[in-house]
Amino acid sequence: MGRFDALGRFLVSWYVAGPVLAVLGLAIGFAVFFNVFPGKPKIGVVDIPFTGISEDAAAVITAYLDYCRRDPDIKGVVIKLSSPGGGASPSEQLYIETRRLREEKPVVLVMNDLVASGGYMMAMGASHTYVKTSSLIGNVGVVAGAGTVLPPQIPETVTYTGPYKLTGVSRRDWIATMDRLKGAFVEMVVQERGNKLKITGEELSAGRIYSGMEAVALGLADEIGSDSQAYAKAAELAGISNYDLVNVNVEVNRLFVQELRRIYSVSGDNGDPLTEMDARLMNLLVNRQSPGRQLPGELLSEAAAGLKVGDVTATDEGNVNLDALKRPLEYGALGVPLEEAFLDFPVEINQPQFYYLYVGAAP
Amino acid sequence: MWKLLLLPVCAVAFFLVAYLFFYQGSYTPPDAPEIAFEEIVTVPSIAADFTDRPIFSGNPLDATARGTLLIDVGHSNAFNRAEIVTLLSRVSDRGYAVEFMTEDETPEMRRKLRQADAFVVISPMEPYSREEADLVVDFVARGGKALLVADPGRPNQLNSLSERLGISFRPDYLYNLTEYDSNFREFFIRDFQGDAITSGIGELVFYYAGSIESAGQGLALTDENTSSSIEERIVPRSPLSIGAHRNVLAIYDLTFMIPPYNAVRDNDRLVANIADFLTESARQYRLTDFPRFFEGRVDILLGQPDLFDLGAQLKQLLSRQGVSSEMREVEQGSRDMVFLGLYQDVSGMARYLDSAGVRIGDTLTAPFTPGIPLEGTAAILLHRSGDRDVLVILAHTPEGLADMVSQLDTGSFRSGLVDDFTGVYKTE
Repeated sequence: MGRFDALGRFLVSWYVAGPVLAVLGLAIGFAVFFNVFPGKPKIGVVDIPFTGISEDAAAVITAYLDYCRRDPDIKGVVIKLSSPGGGASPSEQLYIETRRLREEKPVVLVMNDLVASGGYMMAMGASHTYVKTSSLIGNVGVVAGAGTVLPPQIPETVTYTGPYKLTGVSRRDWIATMDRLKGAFVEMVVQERGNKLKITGEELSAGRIYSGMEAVALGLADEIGSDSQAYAKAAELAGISNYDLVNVNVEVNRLFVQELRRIYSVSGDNGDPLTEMDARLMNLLVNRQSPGRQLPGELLSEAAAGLKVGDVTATDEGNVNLDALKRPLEYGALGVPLEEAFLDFPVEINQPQFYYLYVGAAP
Repeated sequence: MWKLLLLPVCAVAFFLVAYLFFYQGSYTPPDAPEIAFEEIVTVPSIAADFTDRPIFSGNPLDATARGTLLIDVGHSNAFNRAEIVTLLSRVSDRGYAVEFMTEDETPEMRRKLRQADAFVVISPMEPYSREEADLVVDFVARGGKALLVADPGRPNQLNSLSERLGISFRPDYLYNLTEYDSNFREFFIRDFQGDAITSGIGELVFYYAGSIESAGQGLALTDENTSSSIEERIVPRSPLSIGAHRNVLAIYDLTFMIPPYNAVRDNDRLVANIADFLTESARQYRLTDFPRFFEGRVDILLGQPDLFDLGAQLKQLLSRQGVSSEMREVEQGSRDMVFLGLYQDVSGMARYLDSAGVRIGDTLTAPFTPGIPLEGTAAILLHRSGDRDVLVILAHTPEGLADMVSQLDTGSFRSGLVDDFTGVYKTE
């Protein structure tokens, strides 16, 4: 007993218990900080290469923004955007989603080559915007197809119950509706930019595109800057430092692929190399995100070849290595040439649909 | 036991140090501006009341219309007839017949213009040839009215014609970002130059109009907020101009006259005024326009009873060309007349021959024509005096006279004209 008492006294003495308790305390502090709350801060990076904002593109981008909002480790978001805009509703969706994200976390948006019309509308939802000197910014307004001044005669073989049952609205009212949407867009910019804006709503409604340096001078954007400044600004607004960057595109796509595999019960979850079936799933994914468009043959082959050789393997976390998946996934969702995102671009806008879109006509 | 406190103290210390290492503040979201979407309103102008009161109040069923409006559809014109129904109905209400020129061939155009009092060209996609433009220039010079309509939203080659008339349609459109109907290209005009075309008009709305340069006068001038798409200088511009020759009217917008746009503000009044312009033609006819210069019923007077059969032939010819006639024994001073006779029968027609410079003695003498033997010849002259037209057809023999009636029927008489009102012919 005496020996045990001596050992006990030794253990509880400062010499032993002190360091042990201190290390244990630090470990607990480490565990709590990094694994429970609040964790090492991250800046989520959403990359939107030149993309026409279609319904599908908006769905993908919304998923990225939603991920940023839900991930508690992401304290700030940087969006790298290049877009001529697109459909009115998808563009409004991205403005609303960006603005909603801004209410919880700082959103810094970097406007690259071209951020026009619906793309610029999305930018209005950000906390802070950067442009390059040569970026092309603005083009506030609406384009839409419309019928002929006199509507065509409807053959008597078609019957309907009201004068607007077929067209939904008269041509005059259609044009007036388009003007109201333009007014709402202008008002959105005026309100979001507030006192920073140096031009009137009427000047905005002309639909001009401004260079980045003009945009800053006129208050359409906040600063000239690039990605690293955007990360720093996001961190500053979030009140963090020593942060990590998270590629949100990759994270979301990884989750998507995992979900896809779970639904279709294909290989890969257990670490097996992906098979030809997986390649077909990739193609399915591409077609889902851009309906009516096939992945180019060589790209599909490349993706399938990449998958077959087994470089898509399980990682330590049980997730797939996404490098091989990244290109076909992103090709199918974002970075789509506009002429593929919008049929008939840029020649005709001939659908009875509103677009916040810079159609790309040569000045 | 105190030693156990070291555990939470270290944990908290680590947490605090780490927190301060990574976090120096917190995010304060900006105030989200409220956007009052409900206050964003665009309401198109409502239709205005308008009652057309045409000057003409005759019987619209009268086959002898006051005149003829010819509309070019032979140059792949970018419009359909339904789009100009408002203008056509106004023109019809004013006693004019409407015809369409379906071919772009010069002979067809010459023939049709000869019969027309007013001519309308809307957005021709094929250019006018020099010969065709000459015909229109000549038509206008002789009192015919011409309406030239283009629209920036439709392709047109109208300058190939209009520039011959001193009018140029600029490759632009006009717009106003400050005040408009439903779209920036739908602008108001409230500044008008005094003219019958703008009479009674206080405000027009043009829908996608362009500007016109005219050697004449711009009639409807844009305000200080209306710009041209191709020029930043803001000056009054006109989408509605009268030519230097006031028989030509140019409009650089078709939409304003298409329902329902015609009913906005004073647009309907403008359409009515244009109809007045077109139907107030003072067309000056020449012999080559036979028989278009006749108005109402025409008397046929024969030099001698033996020519009755020829007179009947002439009556049929006139009837085929839409001119009603009747044989008379004596001249009725106020009515249009055709005299058909031999040289020996001209005593009663002396004043007409004198005014035309035609003398018949041992030889036939006419302007620019030296005395030629009477044998085997014929002559035609048109005498115009006020509203009365007298056509005198003479020949040396009944056979020669029959030949002239035949030439009038076929139109070959035009090759023998020595001036605008006289023709001299060798007969078979």
